[in-house]
Amino acid sequence: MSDTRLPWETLPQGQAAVAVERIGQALPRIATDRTVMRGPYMEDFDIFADLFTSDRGRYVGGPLTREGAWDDFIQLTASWILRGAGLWTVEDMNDKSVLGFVLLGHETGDPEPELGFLFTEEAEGKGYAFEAAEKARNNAWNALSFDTLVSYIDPQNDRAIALATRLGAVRDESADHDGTHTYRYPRPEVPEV
Amino acid sequence: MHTLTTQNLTLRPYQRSDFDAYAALMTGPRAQHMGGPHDSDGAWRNFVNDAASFTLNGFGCFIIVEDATPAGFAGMIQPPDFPEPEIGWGLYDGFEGRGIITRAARAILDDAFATTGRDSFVSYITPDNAASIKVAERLGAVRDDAATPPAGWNSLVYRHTPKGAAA
Repeated sequence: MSDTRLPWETLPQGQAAVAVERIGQALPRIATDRTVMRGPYMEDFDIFADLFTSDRGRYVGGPLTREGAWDDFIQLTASWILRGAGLWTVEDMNDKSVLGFVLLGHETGDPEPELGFLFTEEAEGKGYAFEAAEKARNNAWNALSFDTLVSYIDPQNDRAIALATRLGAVRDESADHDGTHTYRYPRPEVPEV
Repeated sequence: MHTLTTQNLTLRPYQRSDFDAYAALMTGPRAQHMGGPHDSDGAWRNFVNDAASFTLNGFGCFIIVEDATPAGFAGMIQPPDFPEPEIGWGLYDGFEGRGIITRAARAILDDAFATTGRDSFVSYITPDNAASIKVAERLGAVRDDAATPPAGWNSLVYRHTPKGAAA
């Protein structure tokens, strides 16, 4: 929503937009059956902020203020440079509409790297989150050689628990953290492709 | 993301391992000129804003490396509350007095004007920060008292324009 866009959310213009596109193309893109996972652009922040400041953000540390959503967005974007993985925007393969976000991150204060996901209400219940999160999980083992991977999930977030479980994660009570339940993805002996 | 070189300085993208030295600066007394001193969370927030800038904005920050040793940081950012993109800088202890910031900032400004097509960047400088005012003046920046500093900041605004452009 352009009328809510703050000065630091300004979209890059002209040659700066070209520079952003060059960097964006350098981040890993992953195609799933129906989506494309790509690096974040400034224009994605509106949807990211809408999600995290809305009731949908209640299980992921929110609902946040727009400033709090910025802190998360910027940390997960910087993560690409600092850790080689970060926030993917998941878009519909055909019409390019943004369906949601998947991330491999390591938030300040967390003991282990995390697989996270949050999708729009419109995209929910259609299997997009599973499709994208599965690719992110495999990327953590194969491309990134993570030693461990967990999801920190609010105990009341039934949908996220169901998704993590479907992805093979198992509750690890010994690693529960900061009021969330820890679901641990078992590292495959032979990496999946 | 790219790397610039100028004389014995290398300007390269941020790495995770840069954080300890960066945080030492941002939590220390010298950070009074950088909206601080910050606590460690505030230092991290600054660090990730710096590191994310190129990806989102097409301009961004570099770690300054002098003869293989990190000496500080410089570059363009627009974190929350900044009305305009700023070129800012900070030197780690022990690297003062050698013109490192002036040389690094010159290379970064030239690169940013060429690659972004923008017609100016500002520097927000507290009035008692004589060293940074001197750097801004050496770089050819001029005071812009009509421009607004970040909310709550008592700082002057210096405006950098491409070489040869009307100031």
